[in-house]
Amino acid sequence: MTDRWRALPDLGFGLGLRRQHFDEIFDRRAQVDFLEILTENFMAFGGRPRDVLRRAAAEFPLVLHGTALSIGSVDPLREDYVEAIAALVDEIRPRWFSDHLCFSSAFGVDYHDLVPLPFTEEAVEHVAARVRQLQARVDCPFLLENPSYYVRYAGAEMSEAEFLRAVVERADCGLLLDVNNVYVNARNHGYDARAFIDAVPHERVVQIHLAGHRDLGHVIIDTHGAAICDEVYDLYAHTIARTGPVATLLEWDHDVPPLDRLLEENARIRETAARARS
Amino acid sequence: MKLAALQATFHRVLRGDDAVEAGAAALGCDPRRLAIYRDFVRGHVQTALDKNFVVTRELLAPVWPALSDAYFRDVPPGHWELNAAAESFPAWLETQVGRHEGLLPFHVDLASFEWEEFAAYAHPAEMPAHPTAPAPNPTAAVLQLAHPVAGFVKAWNAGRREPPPAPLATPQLTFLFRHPRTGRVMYQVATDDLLFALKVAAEGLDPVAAAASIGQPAEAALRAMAFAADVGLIVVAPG
Ligand SMILES: [Fe+2]
Repeated sequence: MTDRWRALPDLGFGLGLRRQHFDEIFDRRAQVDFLEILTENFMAFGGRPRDVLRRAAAEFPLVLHGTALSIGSVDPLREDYVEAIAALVDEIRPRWFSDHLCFSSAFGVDYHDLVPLPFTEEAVEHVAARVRQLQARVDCPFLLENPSYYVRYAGAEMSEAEFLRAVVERADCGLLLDVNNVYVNARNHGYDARAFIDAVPHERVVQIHLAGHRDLGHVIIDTHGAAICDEVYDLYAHTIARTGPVATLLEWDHDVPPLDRLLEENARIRETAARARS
Repeated sequence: MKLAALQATFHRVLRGDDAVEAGAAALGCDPRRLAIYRDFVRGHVQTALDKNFVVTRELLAPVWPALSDAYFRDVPPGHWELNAAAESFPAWLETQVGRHEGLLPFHVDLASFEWEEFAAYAHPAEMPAHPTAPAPNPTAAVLQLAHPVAGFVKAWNAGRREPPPAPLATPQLTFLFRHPRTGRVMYQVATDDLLFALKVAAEGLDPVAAAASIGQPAEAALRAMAFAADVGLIVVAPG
């Protein structure tokens, strides 16, 4: 069944659609290959955000990326949320949609943050079943992203890479590989980032995220608010050498700089990918 | 630990029901790292409050951290959209009057007004593209306020810092809506002319006939309709 994931297009090098660039982004059509839409920033909104989203759907290839699905929660999948996603997918026809391998709400309360799951067989089965349920409801390929996380629980039954592989294979979904998250997690939890990249199922990697982080000394926080560091560029090159060309997105959500700065960073990503492939 | 128990343990830490140390011991994780999540989750809601209640927050600056902490504890967010976490704040703030120094009923009205500004900005309704007759602006909300908030906000936006106003003799109706052409959030205190125009638009009446039935001249009716369309409370065909 993995051919389905290999067959999804390499969309090139994209940016997130941000309010700060609503006016400018359409003038830079030639420099941005695709746009990623943060689901929760558009789904409940009419007015300007909706108008811009519709125009973006007409002018760019789009992908949807969410944070509130809470695929690992012990609460039932939220009907209203899944229905809203399905309606948005119908309207803007993204190439795929994604969310994180985590829980972000439980017991009816939203955290607006990504809480890690334990690396256990029970969690694999729980998530895989819910992804299958979701894919039956929403007519669009679904990807799970490896989140950044700061705590590791006692009682892990497998490594993080084994957990990620088990979930996406059992759920039969695609993988959104966040290379910065791999770097941040490897540093925070003391494992080998390259070995992690080598261990994930490359044939399911449909999209890559790159971002900046903040090193506080005792912990690295995944902020999406800075330039990508050299080590993450190296890890990206290592990844592309294994996966081949994959749609790559620069995530920059806090202290969002002018569009020119993002395009400059995206140019470096483009060059890095080209060098890794040659 | 089973998944449900793990999530319940984590949940109690995030909601502030259990101390980080107790949660970390149960989960077998580093308390300092667990505290990152507790602080982030509370911080998201506080950011949503800060963003949506800019003026209220500035006026209540000395007690704002205590208010925002107490709100997080009392009102767990139940919606995936972060701004929605701020929706219940005005109603909750009303329950706090008398419990925090300097918090007045005026601040409750102001918070209601500020929330409606966001609600109008985000309102999912579509503007009628080619109305064949004047239609009410579908994003409009009406607030009944005991204090003259619109005037206070107008002065504030012009850079004038006025003391909190006293309650009015009779409550003031204030409309908040997204302008059909500019998309900007607008507010208008209800006047007889605006209420007339809204009634004509909502009920599909002939403005001249409607004016005649209350003893008003045709010019007054047309002037009221033109003004309501200009400010954006009713939507008319372009041109
Ligand atoms: Fe990411």
